[in-house]
Amino acid sequence: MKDQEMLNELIMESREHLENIEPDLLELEEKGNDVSDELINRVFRAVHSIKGGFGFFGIENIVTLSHAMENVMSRIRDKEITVTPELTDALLQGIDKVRILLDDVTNSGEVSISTEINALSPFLDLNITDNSQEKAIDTDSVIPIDPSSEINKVHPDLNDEHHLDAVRNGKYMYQVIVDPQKDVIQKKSNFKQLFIDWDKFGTIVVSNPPQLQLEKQEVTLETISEVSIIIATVLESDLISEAINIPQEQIYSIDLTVYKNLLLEEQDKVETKEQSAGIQKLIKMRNEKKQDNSRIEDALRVKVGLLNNLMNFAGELVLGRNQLIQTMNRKLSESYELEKIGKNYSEFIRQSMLKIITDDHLNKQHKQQNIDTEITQLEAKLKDLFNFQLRDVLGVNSIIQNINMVTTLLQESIMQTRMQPISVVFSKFPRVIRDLAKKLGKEITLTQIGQDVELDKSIIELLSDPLTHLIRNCADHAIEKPSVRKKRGKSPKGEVILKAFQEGGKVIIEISDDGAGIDPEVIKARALDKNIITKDEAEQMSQKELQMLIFTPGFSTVQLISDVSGRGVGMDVVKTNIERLGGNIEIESEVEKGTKIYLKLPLTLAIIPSLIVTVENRRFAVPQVGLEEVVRIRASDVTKRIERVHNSEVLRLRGKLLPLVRLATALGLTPTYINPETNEKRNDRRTQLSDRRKQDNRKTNEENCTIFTDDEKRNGVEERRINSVNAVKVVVLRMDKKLYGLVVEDVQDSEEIVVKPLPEYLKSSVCYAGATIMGDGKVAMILDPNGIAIMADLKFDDIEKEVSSEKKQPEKGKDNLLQNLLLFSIGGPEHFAIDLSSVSRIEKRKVEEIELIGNKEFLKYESSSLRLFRIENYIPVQPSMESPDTIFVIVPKNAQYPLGFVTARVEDTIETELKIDSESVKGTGVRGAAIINKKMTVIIDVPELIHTLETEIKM
Amino acid sequence: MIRQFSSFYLGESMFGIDVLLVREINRNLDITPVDPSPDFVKGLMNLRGQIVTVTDLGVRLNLDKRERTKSTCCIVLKTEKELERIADEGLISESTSKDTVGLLVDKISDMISIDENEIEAPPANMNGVDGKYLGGVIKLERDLLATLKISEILAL
Repeated sequence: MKDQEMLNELIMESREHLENIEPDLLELEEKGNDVSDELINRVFRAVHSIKGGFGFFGIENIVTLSHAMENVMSRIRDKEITVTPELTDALLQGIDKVRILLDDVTNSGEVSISTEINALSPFLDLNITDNSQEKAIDTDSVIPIDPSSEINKVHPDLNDEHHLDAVRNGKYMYQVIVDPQKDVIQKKSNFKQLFIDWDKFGTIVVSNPPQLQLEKQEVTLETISEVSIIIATVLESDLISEAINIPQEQIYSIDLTVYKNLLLEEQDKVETKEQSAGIQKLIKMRNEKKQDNSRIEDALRVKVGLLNNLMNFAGELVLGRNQLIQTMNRKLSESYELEKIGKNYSEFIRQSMLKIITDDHLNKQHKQQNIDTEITQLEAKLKDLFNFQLRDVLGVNSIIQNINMVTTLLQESIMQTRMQPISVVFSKFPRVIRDLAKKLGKEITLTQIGQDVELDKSIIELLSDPLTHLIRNCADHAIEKPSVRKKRGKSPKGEVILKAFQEGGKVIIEISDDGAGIDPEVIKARALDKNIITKDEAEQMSQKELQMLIFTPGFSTVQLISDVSGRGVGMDVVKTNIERLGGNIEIESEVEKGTKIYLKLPLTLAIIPSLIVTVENRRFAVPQVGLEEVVRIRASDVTKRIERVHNSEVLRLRGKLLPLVRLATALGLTPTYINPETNEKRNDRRTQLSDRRKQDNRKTNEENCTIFTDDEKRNGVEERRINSVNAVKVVVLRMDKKLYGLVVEDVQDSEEIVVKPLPEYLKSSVCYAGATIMGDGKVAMILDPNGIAIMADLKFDDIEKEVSSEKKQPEKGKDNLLQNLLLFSIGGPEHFAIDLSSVSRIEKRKVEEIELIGNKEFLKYESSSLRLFRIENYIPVQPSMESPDTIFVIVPKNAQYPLGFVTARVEDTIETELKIDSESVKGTGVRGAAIINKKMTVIIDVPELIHTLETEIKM
Repeated sequence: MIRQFSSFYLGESMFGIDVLLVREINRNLDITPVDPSPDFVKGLMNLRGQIVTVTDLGVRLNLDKRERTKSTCCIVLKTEKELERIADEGLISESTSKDTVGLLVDKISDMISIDENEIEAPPANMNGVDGKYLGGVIKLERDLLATLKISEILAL
């Protein structure tokens, strides 16, 4: 059990070692012999410790392979061999194999390592860095002995062939003196077991008395004082001592120099090595190693389970703190209340006493005086009492504030323990790109930016596969062959940039290449071919929508499935994986220019952003991932915008029909409505939102008749549901490719929630994806868009049929694709349009909220400050002529710094085909002009503008 | 072997649960109802950061529907994982659920210690409760206490 734990630890460590040295090897390949000694030593040490570690456990294949690599590394260090691509290839192959062996250490013996050993063999030296010398420096306890003299007396069978064999295999030879009493009997073992154990670490050459006799117990152990065993192994003396559990004093190293020389002579190789130089280096290396060991550990391994517990408790502490603050605030207000009551009370006493005085005329003045003093004293005492209590409360308040702060810090720190730099994933990509480029005959450079951006451990783990897929795609599909690139007027060397940065509460990973780009026309043809979309759909799709089709299951544009990508893991899997992480994926691509893919990820997996909605006094969380938009329909517009198609309700939204689901109905709750007169909740008898007075269903609801007529009397013929409370709020959700609207009662804030799995008993309730604990300590359910659609039995087909039958196909130019645009004005005469998909948010703010620092404008936004830019300062247009009270700030997506554009008005969003005239209006940040709604409109180039602004921010 | 039962009332009837299965008894009941859900599931509750599925024991045992009163309590059971250790020691033979489950009862009563041999086999039906939910019957001075077979009650 304990051994298994140690082994697991070792496997983990070894994996880290391998990960660490891979970049070193790539550097070695790139720089060849110019590489630093430090780097070579680092690789050497890593391989050495892997060998040593697995030596203890007798995992032969790993030991042999790492031994060979260690040997090669030592030769590179001693400049005996030059670094060639074949050599680094062989080393990388070796490392890959060790990694495979690590996956299943127990069965690693069955995996063949001959290919890797053969690849390494040309670089191996049979005369390993003279090991007897090394040992002499290393430990005094191991005495090198001359094989020709003493040993042969004990082992007459030991011959030259044994020695030569050991040298050929790069092994050391030791004579181990075993004391049968101390080393075998006292350890409750026997020789049979001993030989089995030792066999794992090396080859038993000879034994005196002979192995067979010892095993069969033909020798009485009590009669012999010692057993001498010769063992050949790749382990150094200190390692073998620990491995076979025999003190070093009993182990003698056999000097094999003679045989090495013999072997070298045989091979006609003349020994030219400078022995002393080698020793010098060794001493230096050992010293470095010692320094390394003495460095204080500044990181330690902690079980993830423990961290999860800590996180849980910290969350609880936060809840407890909130409750405490609430209670204290209540107490505080109660105290003030009490003071008020006290004042009233003393006033009342004064009044009633005065009344008594007026009744009694005798000694009036005297009595009055008495009463006054009494009352004043009473008041003063009361005041003292309340002040005392208040003082007490106020003191507690500062303590609570302190606890408050510590709790927040604690929670943040605990969250941080789970954070890992993204370099953990990024580090393997140089290798991936290198291998692919080599294989495909392409030239690719990979630039990585922002490796120190931190993400939750679980996200890092799950990010590896999708990212690898995207990177492979870049190299395989996007970057063209050098010849093609030259033809296209690009540098033959393709460039892939992998960039990570934080934006708001999210991490954005940008993968960009300067390759072929995604041709929407090719995608369209392909999608039609594969029946993923219909011809009608294709006509209506915008360029961006077409490009997004590559994420549809079963879509692959490359005809030939290479072994590089297209191994069954498609882009759809990448998308699902990213979405499972609570993130999303976006594409910007231009034909022949390149592609940019953005992955937006939450900082941690446990917390997902969501929108809180309510229905029937219950709160639900809708994860932002499946959320498209929120639509509010004025009560007076309901009949106009909500229609019925085959018994289901649909919402007309920007020319499209959206099926509607009432959340209350889907969950089987009795719907109610708020009576605007009485603010009471009543059972809602409508079965459809668009049902109105005219088609009432009074007869089916006899029991409600009385209330109904009352209402009718009071309201007359007027529709009573027309009021702001009863405006219909629709949350538009995405289910696979389709959208539908969820009708809720109220939309509250967006909140970051911690997802807790659904208990077994509720697994059958498909509406829910999980549960969460809200800030007030109450449980709320997390809605599952897919499940709700299933529960509501949504029939998309019917609606689609309806849409296609009523739609008259508008004329469309084949070359121009539809785009969603946001139209706005900055207050001047010009009209502007911006690609809607590049907009993250639009903020309506008062002009007073703009804060000035120097000549820069800022706005408080999501707990950070948003730098504001005025478009007129960057694009040759007229400045604003108005001075409005409110401004609309467009916050673009994918900006590295929080920034926004100031506009005077947001006019509309439209879907249109764009014919851009890029000649008449020019400038940085301008794509050109187009006629939209019969007006000349300036089309903003958002990425270019952001780039300009970011350079300005950086300055 | 002496066994201990935590006893409680559902209406007039007295029931008992092996204390080894009980994690805690909770009076602070803030339950979020969940619809749709099985009829005996009352909703979810937050117990120090853990989600507890609160079940209405009365409904599960086919007793009359009951209102919540001041004395209503929630008996929170240990999870299967928490039971592993004591199950290994052979102290209990019952299993609970993977999730943390709470049982709503009308009133909590005393702790009853009794020798295992004094527990009698349950009848096929007792005060309207199906015998399959019962583990045994204990004769007390004034009352009859039916011990519950938790694994059967928690079965989906």
